[in-house]
Amino acid sequence: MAKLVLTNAQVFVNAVDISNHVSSVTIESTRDEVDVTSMGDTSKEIVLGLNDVTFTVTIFNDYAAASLDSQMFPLHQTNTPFVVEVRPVNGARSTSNPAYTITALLPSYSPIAGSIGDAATTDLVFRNAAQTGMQRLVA
Amino acid sequence: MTEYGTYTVTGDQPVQDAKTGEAVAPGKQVRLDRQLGRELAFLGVVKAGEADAEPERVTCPQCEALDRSRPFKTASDEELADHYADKHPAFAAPIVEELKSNG
Repeated sequence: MAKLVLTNAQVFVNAVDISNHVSSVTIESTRDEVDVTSMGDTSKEIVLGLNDVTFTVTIFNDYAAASLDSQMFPLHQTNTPFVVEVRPVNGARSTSNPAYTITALLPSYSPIAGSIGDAATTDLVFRNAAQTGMQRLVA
Repeated sequence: MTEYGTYTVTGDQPVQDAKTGEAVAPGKQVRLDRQLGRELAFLGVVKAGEADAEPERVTCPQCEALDRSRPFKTASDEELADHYADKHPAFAAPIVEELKSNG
Protein backbone atom coordinates (compact mmCIF):
# COMPACT_ATOMS: atom_id res chain seq x y z
CA MET A 1 0.00 0.00 0.00
CA ALA A 2 1.55 3.24 -1.11
CA LYS A 3 1.52 6.25 1.13
CA LEU A 4 -0.29 9.17 -0.39
CA VAL A 5 0.18 12.89 -0.47
CA LEU A 6 -3.17 14.50 -1.04
CA THR A 7 -2.85 16.51 -4.22
CA ASN A 8 -5.80 15.44 -6.30
CA ALA A 9 -8.69 14.45 -4.07
CA GLN A 10 -12.07 14.36 -5.73
CA VAL A 11 -15.14 15.99 -4.25
CA PHE A 12 -18.66 15.73 -5.60
CA VAL A 13 -21.43 17.86 -4.17
CA ASN A 14 -24.91 17.04 -5.45
CA ALA A 15 -23.28 15.19 -8.38
CA VAL A 16 -21.13 18.14 -9.43
CA ASP A 17 -17.37 17.64 -9.32
CA ILE A 18 -16.09 20.71 -7.48
CA SER A 19 -12.55 19.35 -7.02
CA ASN A 20 -10.87 22.10 -9.02
CA HIS A 21 -12.06 24.68 -6.45
CA VAL A 22 -11.23 22.65 -3.32
CA SER A 23 -8.21 23.45 -1.16
CA SER A 24 -8.86 21.06 1.71
CA VAL A 25 -11.25 18.36 2.76
CA THR A 26 -11.83 16.63 6.08
CA ILE A 27 -14.16 13.77 6.82
CA GLU A 28 -15.11 13.16 10.41
CA SER A 29 -17.26 10.30 11.59
CA THR A 30 -17.87 9.91 15.30
CA ARG A 31 -19.86 7.57 17.49
CA ASP A 32 -21.04 8.61 20.91
CA GLU A 33 -19.27 6.83 23.72
CA VAL A 34 -22.02 5.60 26.01
CA ASP A 35 -20.91 4.62 29.47
CA VAL A 36 -22.39 1.33 30.61
CA THR A 37 -20.20 0.81 33.65
CA SER A 38 -22.23 -0.85 36.36
CA MET A 39 -21.98 -1.82 40.02
CA GLY A 40 -19.29 -4.37 40.64
CA ASP A 41 -17.26 -3.38 37.58
CA THR A 42 -13.61 -2.64 38.10
CA SER A 43 -13.05 -0.90 34.78
CA LYS A 44 -15.04 1.59 32.85
CA GLU A 45 -16.96 0.08 29.99
CA ILE A 46 -18.37 1.88 27.00
CA VAL A 47 -20.47 0.96 24.03
CA LEU A 48 -20.77 2.93 20.84
CA GLY A 49 -23.87 5.06 20.48
CA LEU A 50 -25.26 7.30 17.79
CA ASN A 51 -23.19 8.09 14.76
CA ASP A 52 -22.53 11.59 13.48
CA VAL A 53 -20.77 12.58 10.27
CA THR A 54 -19.38 15.89 9.08
CA PHE A 55 -17.63 16.59 5.79
CA THR A 56 -15.76 19.89 5.80
CA VAL A 57 -14.65 21.17 2.43
CA THR A 58 -12.77 24.41 1.98
CA ILE A 59 -13.31 25.92 -1.44
CA PHE A 60 -12.19 28.92 -3.40
CA ASN A 61 -15.56 30.38 -4.09
CA ASP A 62 -16.60 31.20 -7.62
CA TYR A 63 -19.49 33.53 -8.33
CA ALA A 64 -19.70 32.89 -12.06
CA ALA A 65 -22.99 31.70 -13.48
CA ALA A 66 -23.45 27.94 -13.00
CA SER A 67 -20.41 27.80 -10.72
CA LEU A 68 -19.97 27.13 -7.03
CA ASP A 69 -21.82 29.96 -5.34
CA SER A 70 -24.86 29.52 -7.56
CA GLN A 71 -24.89 25.83 -6.63
CA MET A 72 -24.15 26.10 -2.91
CA PHE A 73 -26.66 28.81 -2.13
CA PRO A 74 -29.72 26.73 -3.14
CA LEU A 75 -28.24 23.71 -1.34
CA HIS A 76 -27.94 25.81 1.79
CA GLN A 77 -31.58 26.85 1.49
CA THR A 78 -33.09 23.47 0.78
CA ASN A 79 -34.19 20.97 3.37
CA THR A 80 -33.87 18.18 0.84
CA PRO A 81 -30.73 16.14 1.50
CA PHE A 82 -28.20 15.67 -1.27
CA VAL A 83 -25.15 13.45 -1.69
CA VAL A 84 -21.57 14.49 -1.01
CA GLU A 85 -18.81 12.13 -2.09
CA VAL A 86 -15.08 12.36 -1.50
CA ARG A 87 -12.31 10.16 -2.93
CA PRO A 88 -8.60 10.30 -2.08
CA VAL A 89 -7.65 10.48 -5.76
CA ASN A 90 -9.51 11.89 -8.74
CA GLY A 91 -10.35 8.61 -10.41
CA ALA A 92 -12.68 5.66 -10.41
CA ARG A 93 -13.79 4.13 -7.14
CA SER A 94 -11.77 1.06 -6.26
CA THR A 95 -10.52 -0.86 -3.26
CA SER A 96 -7.48 1.46 -3.22
CA ASN A 97 -9.52 4.59 -3.99
CA PRO A 98 -12.58 4.31 -1.77
CA ALA A 99 -15.35 6.85 -2.01
CA TYR A 100 -16.85 8.16 1.22
CA THR A 101 -20.37 9.42 0.85
CA ILE A 102 -23.00 11.02 2.99
CA THR A 103 -26.47 12.26 2.36
CA ALA A 104 -26.15 15.73 3.74
CA LEU A 105 -27.50 19.18 4.38
CA LEU A 106 -25.59 22.44 4.42
CA PRO A 107 -26.83 24.24 7.54
CA SER A 108 -24.50 27.22 7.27
CA TYR A 109 -22.95 28.94 4.31
CA SER A 110 -20.75 32.01 4.19
CA PRO A 111 -20.75 33.12 0.57
CA ILE A 112 -18.26 35.89 1.28
CA ALA A 113 -15.66 35.73 4.04
CA GLY A 114 -12.22 37.24 4.01
CA SER A 115 -10.01 40.26 4.32
CA ILE A 116 -8.37 42.47 1.77
CA GLY A 117 -5.85 40.56 -0.24
CA ASP A 118 -7.26 37.17 0.70
CA ALA A 119 -8.59 34.60 -1.69
CA ALA A 120 -12.35 34.28 -1.33
CA THR A 121 -12.53 30.97 0.47
CA THR A 122 -15.50 29.33 2.12
CA ASP A 123 -15.78 26.39 4.46
CA LEU A 124 -18.62 24.13 3.45
CA VAL A 125 -19.66 22.06 6.46
CA PHE A 126 -21.90 19.25 5.30
CA ARG A 127 -23.81 17.55 8.07
CA ASN A 128 -25.25 14.09 8.03
CA ALA A 129 -28.97 14.13 7.18
CA ALA A 130 -29.91 10.49 6.65
CA GLN A 131 -29.91 7.25 8.60
CA THR A 132 -27.44 5.74 6.15
CA GLY A 133 -24.66 7.75 7.79
CA MET A 134 -21.32 7.60 6.04
CA GLN A 135 -20.77 4.91 3.45
CA ARG A 136 -17.53 3.60 2.00
CA LEU A 137 -17.89 2.54 -1.62
CA VAL A 138 -15.21 0.69 -3.55
CA ALA A 139 -17.09 0.15 -6.81
CA MET B 1 -38.11 3.62 -9.02
CA THR B 2 -35.47 6.16 -10.04
CA GLU B 3 -35.86 7.53 -13.55
CA TYR B 4 -32.76 8.68 -15.34
CA GLY B 5 -32.37 11.24 -18.07
CA THR B 6 -29.50 12.12 -20.32
CA TYR B 7 -28.00 15.58 -20.09
CA THR B 8 -25.09 17.46 -21.59
CA VAL B 9 -22.62 18.97 -19.13
CA THR B 10 -22.58 22.68 -19.95
CA GLY B 11 -20.84 24.21 -16.94
CA ASP B 12 -17.11 24.29 -16.25
CA GLN B 13 -17.24 21.43 -13.79
CA PRO B 14 -17.55 17.71 -14.45
CA VAL B 15 -20.77 16.05 -13.30
CA GLN B 16 -21.09 12.61 -11.74
CA ASP B 17 -22.87 10.02 -13.83
CA ALA B 18 -25.65 8.45 -11.79
CA LYS B 19 -25.04 4.95 -13.12
CA THR B 20 -21.25 4.65 -13.22
CA GLY B 21 -20.43 7.12 -10.44
CA GLU B 22 -17.69 8.61 -12.59
CA ALA B 23 -17.12 12.25 -13.44
CA VAL B 24 -18.22 13.30 -16.91
CA ALA B 25 -16.34 16.19 -18.48
CA PRO B 26 -18.00 19.37 -19.78
CA GLY B 27 -19.44 18.90 -23.25
CA LYS B 28 -20.10 15.19 -22.70
CA GLN B 29 -23.36 13.44 -21.91
CA VAL B 30 -24.19 12.38 -18.39
CA ARG B 31 -27.03 10.34 -16.92
CA LEU B 32 -28.76 11.86 -13.93
CA ASP B 33 -31.80 11.25 -11.82
CA ARG B 34 -34.47 13.42 -13.49
CA GLN B 35 -35.14 15.48 -10.39
CA LEU B 36 -31.44 16.27 -9.99
CA GLY B 37 -31.15 16.82 -13.73
CA ARG B 38 -33.88 19.45 -13.57
CA GLU B 39 -32.15 21.18 -10.65
CA LEU B 40 -28.78 21.23 -12.37
CA ALA B 41 -30.32 22.31 -15.66
CA PHE B 42 -31.96 25.21 -13.82
CA LEU B 43 -28.54 26.20 -12.49
CA GLY B 44 -26.98 25.94 -15.94
CA VAL B 45 -24.66 23.10 -14.95
CA VAL B 46 -26.22 20.71 -17.46
CA LYS B 47 -28.59 21.00 -20.37
CA ALA B 48 -31.41 18.57 -20.89
CA GLY B 49 -30.99 16.44 -23.98
CA GLU B 50 -33.75 15.05 -26.11
CA ALA B 51 -33.59 11.90 -24.08
CA ASP B 52 -34.69 13.88 -21.06
CA ALA B 53 -37.99 14.82 -22.59
CA GLU B 54 -40.84 13.30 -20.64
CA PRO B 55 -41.49 9.84 -22.08
CA GLU B 56 -44.43 9.76 -24.44
CA ARG B 57 -47.44 8.14 -22.81
CA VAL B 58 -49.90 5.93 -24.62
CA THR B 59 -53.58 5.50 -23.87
CA CYS B 60 -54.84 2.07 -22.90
CA PRO B 61 -56.61 0.72 -26.01
CA GLN B 62 -59.12 -1.21 -23.91
CA CYS B 63 -60.09 1.92 -21.97
CA GLU B 64 -60.50 3.71 -25.29
CA ALA B 65 -62.62 0.88 -26.66
CA LEU B 66 -64.80 1.07 -23.56
CA ASP B 67 -64.94 4.85 -23.96
CA ARG B 68 -63.79 5.43 -20.40
CA SER B 69 -63.96 9.08 -19.37
CA ARG B 70 -60.50 8.85 -17.78
CA PRO B 71 -58.58 6.30 -19.82
CA PHE B 72 -55.40 4.95 -18.32
CA LYS B 73 -52.22 6.46 -19.77
CA THR B 74 -48.68 5.28 -19.29
CA ALA B 75 -45.20 5.09 -20.79
CA SER B 76 -44.30 1.92 -18.94
CA ASP B 77 -44.89 -1.67 -20.05
CA GLU B 78 -44.91 -2.71 -16.41
CA GLU B 79 -47.64 -0.23 -15.48
CA LEU B 80 -49.69 -1.19 -18.51
CA ALA B 81 -49.40 -4.87 -17.61
CA ASP B 82 -50.51 -4.13 -14.05
CA HIS B 83 -53.41 -2.06 -15.35
CA TYR B 84 -54.51 -4.87 -17.66
CA ALA B 85 -54.29 -7.42 -14.89
CA ASP B 86 -56.44 -5.18 -12.73
CA LYS B 87 -58.96 -3.73 -15.20
CA HIS B 88 -58.88 -5.88 -18.31
CA PRO B 89 -57.86 -9.33 -17.11
CA ALA B 90 -59.36 -11.05 -20.14
CA PHE B 91 -56.87 -9.37 -22.45
CA ALA B 92 -53.12 -9.61 -22.85
CA ALA B 93 -51.36 -6.33 -22.25
CA PRO B 94 -49.80 -4.83 -25.37
CA ILE B 95 -46.28 -3.40 -25.56
CA VAL B 96 -46.05 0.39 -25.23
CA GLU B 97 -43.68 0.75 -28.18
CA GLU B 98 -46.06 -1.21 -30.39
CA LEU B 99 -48.94 1.06 -29.42
CA LYS B 100 -46.76 4.07 -30.30
CA SER B 101 -45.84 2.64 -33.69
CA ASN B 102 -49.50 1.79 -34.39
CA GLY B 103 -50.30 5.42 -33.74
